[in-house]
Amino acid sequence: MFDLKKSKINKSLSIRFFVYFFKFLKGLSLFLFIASILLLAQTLSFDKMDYQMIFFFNIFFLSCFMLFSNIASFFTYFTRKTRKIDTSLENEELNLADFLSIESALRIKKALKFARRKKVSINSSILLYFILNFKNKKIDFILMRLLINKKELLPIIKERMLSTKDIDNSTNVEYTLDLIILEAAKACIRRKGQNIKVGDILSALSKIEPSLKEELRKRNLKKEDLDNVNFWQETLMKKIDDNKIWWSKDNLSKLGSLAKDWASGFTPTLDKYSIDLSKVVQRVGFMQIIGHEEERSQVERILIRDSENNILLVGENGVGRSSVVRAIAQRSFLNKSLPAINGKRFVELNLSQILTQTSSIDEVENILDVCFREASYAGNIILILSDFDNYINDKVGAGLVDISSLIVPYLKFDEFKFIALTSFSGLHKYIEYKPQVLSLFEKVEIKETTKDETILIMEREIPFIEYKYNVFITYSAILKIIELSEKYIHDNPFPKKAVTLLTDTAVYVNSVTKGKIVLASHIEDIISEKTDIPVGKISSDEREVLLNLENLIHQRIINQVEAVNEISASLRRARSGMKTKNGPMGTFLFLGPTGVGKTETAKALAEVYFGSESKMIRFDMSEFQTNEDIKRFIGDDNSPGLLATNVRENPFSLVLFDEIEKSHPNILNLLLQILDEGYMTDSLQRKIDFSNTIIIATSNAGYQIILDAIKENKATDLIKQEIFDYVFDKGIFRPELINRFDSSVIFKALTKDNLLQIADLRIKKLQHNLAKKQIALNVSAKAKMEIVELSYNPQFGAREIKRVLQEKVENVLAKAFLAEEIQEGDSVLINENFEIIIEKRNYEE
Amino acid sequence: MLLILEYFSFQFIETPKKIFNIFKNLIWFGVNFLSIKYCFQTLFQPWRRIVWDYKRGFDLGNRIDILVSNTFSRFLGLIMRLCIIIAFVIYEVFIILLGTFLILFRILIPFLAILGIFISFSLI
Repeated sequence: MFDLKKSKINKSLSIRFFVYFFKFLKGLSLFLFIASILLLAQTLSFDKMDYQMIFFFNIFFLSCFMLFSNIASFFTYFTRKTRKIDTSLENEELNLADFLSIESALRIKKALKFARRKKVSINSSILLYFILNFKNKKIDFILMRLLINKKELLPIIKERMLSTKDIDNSTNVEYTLDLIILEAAKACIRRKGQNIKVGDILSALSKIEPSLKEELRKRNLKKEDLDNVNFWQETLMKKIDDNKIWWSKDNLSKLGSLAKDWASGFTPTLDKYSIDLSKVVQRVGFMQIIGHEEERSQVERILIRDSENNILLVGENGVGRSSVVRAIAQRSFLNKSLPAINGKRFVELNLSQILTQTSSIDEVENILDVCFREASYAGNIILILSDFDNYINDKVGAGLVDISSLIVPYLKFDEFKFIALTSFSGLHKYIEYKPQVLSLFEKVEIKETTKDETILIMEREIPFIEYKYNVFITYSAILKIIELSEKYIHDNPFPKKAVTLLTDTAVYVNSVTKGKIVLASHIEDIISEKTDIPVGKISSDEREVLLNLENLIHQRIINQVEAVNEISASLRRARSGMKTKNGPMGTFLFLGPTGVGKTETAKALAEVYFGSESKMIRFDMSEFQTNEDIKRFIGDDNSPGLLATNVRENPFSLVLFDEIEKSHPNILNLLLQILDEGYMTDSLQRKIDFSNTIIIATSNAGYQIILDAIKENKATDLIKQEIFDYVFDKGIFRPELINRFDSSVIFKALTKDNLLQIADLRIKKLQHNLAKKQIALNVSAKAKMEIVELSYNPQFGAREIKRVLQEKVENVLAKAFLAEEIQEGDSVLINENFEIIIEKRNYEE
Repeated sequence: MLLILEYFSFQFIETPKKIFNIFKNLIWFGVNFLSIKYCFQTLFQPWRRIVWDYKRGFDLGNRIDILVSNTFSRFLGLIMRLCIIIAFVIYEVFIILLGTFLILFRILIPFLAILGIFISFSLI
């Protein structure tokens, strides 16, 4: 139920006048009191009379000021006193108007008054108009982040506000004011608010009001996005308001405490080689803790144990391991952690500093020994060491040292609380080889933050980034960061990759574009620059390429219509966003005899689609047949391997596995995962992303079946089935591999007509080269037929053409050039006997 | 009528309660900032854990030396903590007095204001 008239807030609205009135009287009486004091001072200095009258003014105005101040405070208190929202809105007798904030109530009241005056029932457009048509920082914040121009929107709303019908097309339900406010109340509950504010009403209207819906749709934003921005601004405002209440326990806690460490030991050596995170937290400021709640609580529980209280925090670089430690240090500083942890010092050992300042391992060990002794004796230290795996391996090198034998006795000591940070690769490669060390730790794995948490983390960082780089970051840019970094950046996990991308874009906008607003398109620019992948909306050039892909490929490829069609369709699906499965953009198995255009099709595709033949990563799989070759291909402990390296360097490329049937079976097993999931993990535990590649595997297996079938004029499906039966029977490929390709394409043997067309293509290429020397080359039709006759061999496809052309045409031309029989400007004709007829250029003409 | 009741609630319950809560926090701040609980818990503990271990074997001179040194460390700790406790007591007394005064003043403001108006008129 919504009835503004019957609500308490309505009374508050009616007495709002008194707030302003008494505030005015308060100000006036203060002014007069000060004036009377000045008058008194003047009277005293000039030794004049009539003190009594001046005292009267002094006391009277001071008393009036106190009285009006008191009354004004009361009216302010009364008007702001609203009923806090209940989480259950089920009760139909509940008057939702009671939960409105004073500002929301005022806007609704004005909207109702307008509707009454115009004799129409109130609708979403009227309400939106009266929400937007006044100055409100919160509403401005929401609209600006969503890049909605209030000035442009208002006239549109004004035009339709008398005719808007709020009917949900899907359910045919009419949105009355009750339902709109109910939606707003739900938005308020979602953000854990106490009163329905104007932002909540705006959030509700984003689902109902047509103009606002249209504005969101134009910007590719969802209704939830407005809800999220509202939540963001409310969180920010709450933080600002909370900071103003200096007397709150939270704010007073930030001053820290004295004397807590007086009963703890001095740590002079440790202080020299470490960073006190507790002091850093106080100096840098207290951040809002987002995500990793479970891991944090797990670490805290382990730290309060009497024994076995060392922790190994395992997670990828950038996943938030340090943030978890910092969050606990902050909670401990603010006395918000567990009692046994509160007030403890979180000290991060700077081992690299020790290594750079010492000349021998003995010296390092001596310093570390003192540090560890001080830490365990002090009684209030929780020691932290990042990149623990660097200091626990036997390898010799810069920044590496093995402290395992030194640290083990301390780890066994209950007073010594130690948090080591490492990555999964560090854990598997080094720490697991030191079971005596590993057994003394409790492992806590830090998971990647979710997308929602990453958005909150970015929102937390944005005020600092905006201030530093003098830019304004839009909400669509935040969403784009999440979308693109999830899709294209696999070096780092969330939240690091998102925050880094955000910072990079802010720097780019500030320094390169000299702009002020970070848009989604800037994010696409940065991603394209970082990954070499043309992300973003399909450009007009690319759109044209995609629509004409078949024709473009056929400029180089003769026949093979089915293969070309299949590839083109698959690419169109991928680039237009129709693709639903994970994995590469397209995966194809080309089956057919040699020389029919399998590799050439791949080259043509790389050129047409990726812009250059150099964007094709080609592997001749006959080179990878032994176990040694597999290491070269997949990688080992020392190197990531050819496949991972190439795809990492060129993530937007065509990967061609030529003659795949000749490769080692283990490579085929790896291919299964790549085709299925679109990624592989290299030997350095990095995720290699194949989702922006097209994978083509070629095979000659069963080519004889194709040749025979062509002679018998069999249907393609039948040929395919026969080939599959053959390769499965012979164990060349497993069915699960074939099934994982988007399509297995049969390349048919070439006919004489096809060869003639190929000969034409090659001769055109030759003509083009000779044209640069101003020589016109003509090959007679009979000569072309002769070339086809000489090169026709179904087993070798078009490969023979190249040889025949070289022998019969290119060799003859080369000799004639060397003998200077052909000169610039001449026309050359090659007849059916492959003789050269030269027509000299007439210079006199 | 409702407004008058609301005023009484505001003037004599809500506002004093708010001021009381502020001063309650300030009292808590004194306890927390000066680590009073911890000071009492460790009142006689050595200053910064500086203690010397007794050597093996019986050496009276050495034993006396160490005993004196360790006692001195505890004494130093005691003095330092007592200083903090004294500072705490002064701070808390000040806060309690200030808080009481402000609460009373806040409650009496309307009466003081009306009294002031009467007094001012008596001056004419």
